[in-house]
Amino acid sequence: MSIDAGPVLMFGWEYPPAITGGLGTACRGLVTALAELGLRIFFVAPRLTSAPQPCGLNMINANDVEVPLEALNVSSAGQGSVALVAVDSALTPYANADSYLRSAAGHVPWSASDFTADSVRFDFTGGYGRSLFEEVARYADVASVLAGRLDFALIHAHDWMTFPAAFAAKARSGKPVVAHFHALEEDRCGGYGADERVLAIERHAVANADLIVAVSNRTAKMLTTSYGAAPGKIRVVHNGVEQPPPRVPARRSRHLGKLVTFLGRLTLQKGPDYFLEAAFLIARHRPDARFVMAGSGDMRPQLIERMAALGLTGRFHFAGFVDERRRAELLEETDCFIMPSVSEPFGLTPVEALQYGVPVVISKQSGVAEVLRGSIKVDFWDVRRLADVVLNILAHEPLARQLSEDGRRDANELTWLTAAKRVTAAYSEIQS
Amino acid sequence: MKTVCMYFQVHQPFRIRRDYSYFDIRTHAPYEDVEKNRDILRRVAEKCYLPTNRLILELIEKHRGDFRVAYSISGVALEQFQLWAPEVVRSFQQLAETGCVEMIGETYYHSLSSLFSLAEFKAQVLRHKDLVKELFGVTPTTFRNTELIYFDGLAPVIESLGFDTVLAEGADRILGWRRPDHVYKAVGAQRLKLLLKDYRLSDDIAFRFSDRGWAEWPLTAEKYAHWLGAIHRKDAFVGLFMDYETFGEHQWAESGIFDFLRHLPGAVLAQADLGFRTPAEVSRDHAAVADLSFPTPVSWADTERDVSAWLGNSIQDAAAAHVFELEDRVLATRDGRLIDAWRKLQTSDHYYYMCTKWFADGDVHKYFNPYESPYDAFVCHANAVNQLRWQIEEATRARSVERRTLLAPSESSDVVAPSRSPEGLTLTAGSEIG
Repeated sequence: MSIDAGPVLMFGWEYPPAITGGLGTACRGLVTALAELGLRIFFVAPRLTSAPQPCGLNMINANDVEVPLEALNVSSAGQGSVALVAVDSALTPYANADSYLRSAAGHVPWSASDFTADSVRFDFTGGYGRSLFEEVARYADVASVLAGRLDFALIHAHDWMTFPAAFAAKARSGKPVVAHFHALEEDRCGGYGADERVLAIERHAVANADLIVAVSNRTAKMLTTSYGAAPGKIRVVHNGVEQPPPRVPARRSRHLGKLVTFLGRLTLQKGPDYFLEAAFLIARHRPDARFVMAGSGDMRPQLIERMAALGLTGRFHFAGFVDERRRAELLEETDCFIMPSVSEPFGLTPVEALQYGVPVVISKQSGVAEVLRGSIKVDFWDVRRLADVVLNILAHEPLARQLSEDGRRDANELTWLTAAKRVTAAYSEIQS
Repeated sequence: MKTVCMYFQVHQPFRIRRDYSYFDIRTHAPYEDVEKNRDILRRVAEKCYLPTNRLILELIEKHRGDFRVAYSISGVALEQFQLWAPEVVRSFQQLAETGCVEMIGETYYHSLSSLFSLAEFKAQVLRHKDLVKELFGVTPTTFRNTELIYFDGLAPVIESLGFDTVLAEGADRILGWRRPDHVYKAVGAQRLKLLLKDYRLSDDIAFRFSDRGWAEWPLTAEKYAHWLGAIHRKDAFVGLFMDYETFGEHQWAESGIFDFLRHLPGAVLAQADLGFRTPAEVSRDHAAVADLSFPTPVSWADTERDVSAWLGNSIQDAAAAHVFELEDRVLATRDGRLIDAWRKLQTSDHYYYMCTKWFADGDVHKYFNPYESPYDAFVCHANAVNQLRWQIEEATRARSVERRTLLAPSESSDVVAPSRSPEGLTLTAGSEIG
């Protein structure tokens, strides 16, 4: 393996333990494997909580970066779609963060933490709240500053939040950009009400990146058909999973029925409503079946109401957002895992479930369906078929065991090392 | 003589932890929010119960028996006073000893049991009766149901439990053209008398007192007594029924609510032919003028005056069904702790927190809601009920194992279903492989 590539200036958004979805986990898996391959990486994230890192990996917390005030406009160049609102004018007249906060309170609940006469340090949340667009723009300011200070050969950015940062770094350094698509706005909105600002950033990246990485053939296809990407510019790199999974000792006594689990954000994209309707059908035939819906999201109220109306209250649990430990605990006691996503670029959770030996049923509308050859796939909307499959898995031990064994084999092949090798190959292409 | 009849409701629920999650079920983590319950109880004791009790005692002594009031204190409130503020119990006992205070009966758990299980309702009323007798040395003869929920079907039950008077809301849709200031007879009972709340005059104190947008603000004792004195009918009685927490908690001390209360008895007694009586005394002194029927449940809550504050949306109905479907199983355990825990999950407050009527009454709901949303309240309650269900299963299993050891080994195999074996050998595919 030739490791001529790099060093890489890489921009992420979320990073464990502070994660809300799969992006942070994927970034950790990828950079760790790249570092193992001997690559030098500067990994930047808006907000990092310190944790020991492998050598070769420099973690940069964007909140620690001092940005000269005169650098604050850079990010808007070529990024007309990023709403810079009135922040520039709000920044300069005030001498301290407090008054800035007050002046900005009308539209952004977000702040800079440290002001001096000529520079500023931001207080990124690294989340997806109301200040998101603001933070995306400011993150690009930080990127530009870093690009002027660090020595690197190429830029690699993960999803739209980091693309303005990548191109700001490119504008400063002239280095090539790899745009890595883990999800598309079209996936996230489930086909309805896409955010034009996000779409614009994604289109810009598709048009201007030197190379595109897509997490699945599905995503690659969407990039060519909906975003007009040149097929020759796209490399598909399926995600890996961190191996081996954390084991948790049984902390509490097992309940006696079968447990069917959903794990994901409660949003249109993830299809929690299809899980619920399937649960209703399953429950009618399996009085001992229980259901856990882990995750949070804007559909929670309507899902709870529907669940209550379906009469599943005693056996359908809303577990809320689960951290890594709880996730392991939940998968340890799960008998069947369902990922009914309406549109899933990849979908890490069923792979994790398989690592715990849990048979999974996944939607055909997912990228992970391309690599989980030994698992059952159904159309997300086919609730009856979904229920039917799950009932069979719960009823037939040999079927469950076969799915578990085959699925685990698929999961074991999905290593981050494999993914990292493909990524370095892509690096070599644009550097040569 | 025209009669003013003041009754105060004292209640605090056992609240469930806001962070009680699915992962706490089947562990030994308690779902009751002990800290919050204690803190709230002590805070309200400081702000309301203790100072108001002191003031009421002072007024009773000052007016030498002419100022008379009634209390209904839920069993779960009394239990918490005993745990965390025993001085509150002592001050209520002091009040009871004056002979000017009537103690009213209700369900021990301030529950919605009357709407789901009359057997359960009876058991809880009798338990409350016992506690009142034990703490205050009196047996209540007046009854008020949780949140003043009342309907005709309850009348014979209440009467059979030894009560001769029941309090209810003077709702417009029940009264029609009739007035709330008569004593009525309950439909469905032999002699049970109905005393109705005058919601306009009650709410002037309980809800509007500190409302600066109200035309009558600021309300003085003199003005209020004048309104009472202006009531035309000579033997009218005015039911002023309200939460005791009105004094110092819902209406802060700064609003002048204590000054109002301090001057109210004097101002009322200064009016010609106006005096205070307790509900039992009103019932004794007044014959019922007519039957009054409550065909559907009426309560004192919200503008609807029905039970829609606690039941009616899908999550409230599901939560209540979830609790009451355990009735037979939990009673069969004969385990006092489990039965008590089950009954605490019937307390009306849990269902109030799940209310989704955001408009009009939503503000009041939000004020009393410790949860971020009705859905959070539902999920925590559902988790708690599931925990109890698991405990019942454990207890039931332990009992059948006990029974099995008493039987010959050959007979034991069909006593315990294999899937319920305590050894848990029937693990599932996933876990065997994992």
